Amino acid sequence: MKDTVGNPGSIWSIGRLLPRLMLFLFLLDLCLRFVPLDPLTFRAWEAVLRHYPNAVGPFTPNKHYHRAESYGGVASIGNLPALRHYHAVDFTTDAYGFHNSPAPPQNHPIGVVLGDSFAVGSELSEDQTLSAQLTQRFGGYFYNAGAPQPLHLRSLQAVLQRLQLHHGLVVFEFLESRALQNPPATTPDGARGTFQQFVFRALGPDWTDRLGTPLNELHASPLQALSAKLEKKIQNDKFLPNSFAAFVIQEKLRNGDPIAFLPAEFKSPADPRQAAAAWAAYLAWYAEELRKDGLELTVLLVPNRTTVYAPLLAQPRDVSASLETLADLAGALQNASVSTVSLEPRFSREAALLLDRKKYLYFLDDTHWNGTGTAIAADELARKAGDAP
Amino acid sequence: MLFNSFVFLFLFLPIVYFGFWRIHTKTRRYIWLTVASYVFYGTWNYKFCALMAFSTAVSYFAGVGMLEASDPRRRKLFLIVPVTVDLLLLGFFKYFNFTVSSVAHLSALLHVPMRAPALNIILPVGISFYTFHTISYMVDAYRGVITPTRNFWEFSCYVSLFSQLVAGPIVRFRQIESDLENLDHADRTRWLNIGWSFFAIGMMKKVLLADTIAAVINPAWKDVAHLSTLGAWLCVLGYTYQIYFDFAGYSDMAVGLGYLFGIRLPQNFNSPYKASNISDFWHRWHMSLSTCLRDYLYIPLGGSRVSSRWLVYRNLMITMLLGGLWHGANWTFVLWGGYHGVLLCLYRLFGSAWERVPHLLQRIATFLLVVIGWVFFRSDNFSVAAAMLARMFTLSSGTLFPGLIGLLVALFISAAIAHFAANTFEIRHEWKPLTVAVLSLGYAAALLAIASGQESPFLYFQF
Repeated sequence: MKDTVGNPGSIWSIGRLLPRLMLFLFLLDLCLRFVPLDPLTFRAWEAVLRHYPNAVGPFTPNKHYHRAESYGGVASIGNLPALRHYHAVDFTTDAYGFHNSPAPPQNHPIGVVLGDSFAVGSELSEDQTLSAQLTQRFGGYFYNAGAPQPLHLRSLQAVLQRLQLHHGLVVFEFLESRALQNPPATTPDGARGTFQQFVFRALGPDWTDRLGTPLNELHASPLQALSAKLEKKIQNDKFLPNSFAAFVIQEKLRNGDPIAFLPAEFKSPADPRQAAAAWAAYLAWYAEELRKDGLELTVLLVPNRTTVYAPLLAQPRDVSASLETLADLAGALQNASVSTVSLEPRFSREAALLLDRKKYLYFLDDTHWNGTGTAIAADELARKAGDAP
Repeated sequence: MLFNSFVFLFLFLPIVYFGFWRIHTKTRRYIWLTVASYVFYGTWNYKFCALMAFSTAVSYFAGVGMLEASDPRRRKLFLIVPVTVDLLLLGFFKYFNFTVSSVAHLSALLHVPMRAPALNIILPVGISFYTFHTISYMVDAYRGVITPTRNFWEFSCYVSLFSQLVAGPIVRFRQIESDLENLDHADRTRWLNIGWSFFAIGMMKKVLLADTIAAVINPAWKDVAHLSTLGAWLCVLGYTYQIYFDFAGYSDMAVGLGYLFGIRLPQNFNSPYKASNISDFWHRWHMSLSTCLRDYLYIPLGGSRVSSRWLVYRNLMITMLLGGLWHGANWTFVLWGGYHGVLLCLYRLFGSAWERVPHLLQRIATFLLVVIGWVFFRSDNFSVAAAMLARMFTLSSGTLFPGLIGLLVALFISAAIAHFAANTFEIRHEWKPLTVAVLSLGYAAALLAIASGQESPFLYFQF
């Protein structure tokens, strides 16, 4: 073999073309990051989520996302087209980056919903979210402040200040699986890092949003999303085996309908009592801080989808650990004098009743609840409010 | 950090490449490559950088000691002590738990109770490779084959050079000594084309062929008991090509990277599946390892220049058993080495009869023998190997597996390349524009496959 080959000066020499190809792909990837991700997404979450830590609202402000054939995240994770349940979704965000109608009612809200993607209503249009259902039942506007992680106190206070909400109800949606994590520190910034605290305090919420937006654009790579989509297309069990299927658990319900879970949905804390005590202490502190501002906190305990549907599978699974976790949480919160609504009893009952009619409280291809689930949750909260002395 | 990762391709490589060519003195280039290589290595586990630095320092001072020692006994000491240190480190990290569990297993069989103190040891990536670098350096220095370098950075650059650090080729100092010595005179444009050509071909072998095959056969290997006869053969054939294109792909990328920095690394594969007998196979497969085993183990044992034929067989078996064990702390590797040892002995015994067989049949038979050997190599334990062999050699009805079309396409392309095409060291790398365009498309496809996010380590990283 010769040591010197080809003409390295020619553009058609491989030594010149390949580095340029890499540079081209790098620049293409960089540029595409400033193009909206919407056409490559199957649901709103990835298209609207912001990825910088100091944003108050978690989503791109004033954005409308529409998809006629959206489907659930579990079906996507498992690359299982047969399990998809297509539904239309319209997801709009307000000026602060929360999942609310862009034009909120003129009157001040009477309450706020905070929590995780369940509170957000990640698969739901604005009229189906928990806050919308509460608005219908309470006759006053509930603001949806749901985010991927429940807001820390300081972020919530920033939202309340903007809303000029000085008294009212704060609903803290608490998903059962959250008990697997440790609660944040009982400080206004929660578990936020020192640098993040500094930036947030120094710049304030408006400027952190403004400065963070361009950085956010760099986070998601449409090129990567496209190649992942291609890979999923090829992994159709014909050309290549579907390696993604191993990430989900496929089951059948008693009525014959297929349902897919994530393995994480079946997990319970090793020591439920300890987890319940830790969270109760955090939420009691949170309630106390809000009370100083004239706000009342109610914790809404939401069972995992598995807790409700695992007993209704063709081959039922044991959910005693989940029930114990929820009971411990409810007990610990009550002992800490935190107002609590546990949805598990009503959800389990309703799910069993609706099963034969092939109606559900959660999506079968996603971890989240659907409009029926949020409606029942709002009913329970309204009932609790009615029972209140 | 993997060669087939974005962080390597778009961050590490450009920084190291442009930094290297901005520097003009030899020692600074050694230092730059050494620092880069430690960063590269440290991304796996930075703690093991100290282990490699220690091994490097011990071997370097041993080399300098040999230069200055005139007394043969002192020279021998400068060989024995550092080689022992290197082997002890390798033995501890790679074989301690294996030895303990094997002894415990044996004692259980003999009904002698024993508590096995298994330790939580993480195997440092590439330790087998850089240990061979340092040992070969010291032995060659002792034998007078090379003159040990006094430049510590030159030596550390040789040991840790990132392109061949974690999976070879096992480079001997004498093979790159002149390139290292002339590193300040290296010409950036001289080997640019050949370097990128090697790198791109290696990347395509790994990402487009080996990984595609792996995607189909890896799930099947987990459920051997339910494979049909055809499925079992497809599985083993798949692994045969997967390991070749994975490892040869890595070696090509390593050689290509070496060229980009003006260092010519040796050939590691010479179309091994074209071999016409098992001895020929070992002259073509993982050549840097087989020549090391030959020069540092087989020949010191006496090689074939011994008084009795049985001693030759003994030497062959010891070499191949230890060669198998080098691949990993598992008896399946020892069995694989032993299997090849037996084949080599049989070839020595019946070689003249074998040569009378038509050449095509020789090649087919050699290939089939190698394929069967891979069953031991791939299996996690003997029962999996036995189950796979049973499925292959008895008529079993069972399942095929999903992804058959992809596997057949990949096998067809792989077989055509492995059995009939010229290898990367045979081709001239003087590409016409159309070929360059095709190669670029293939390379772009490989980059897109990497972009999908699933990292795929090279198989030989575990050894």
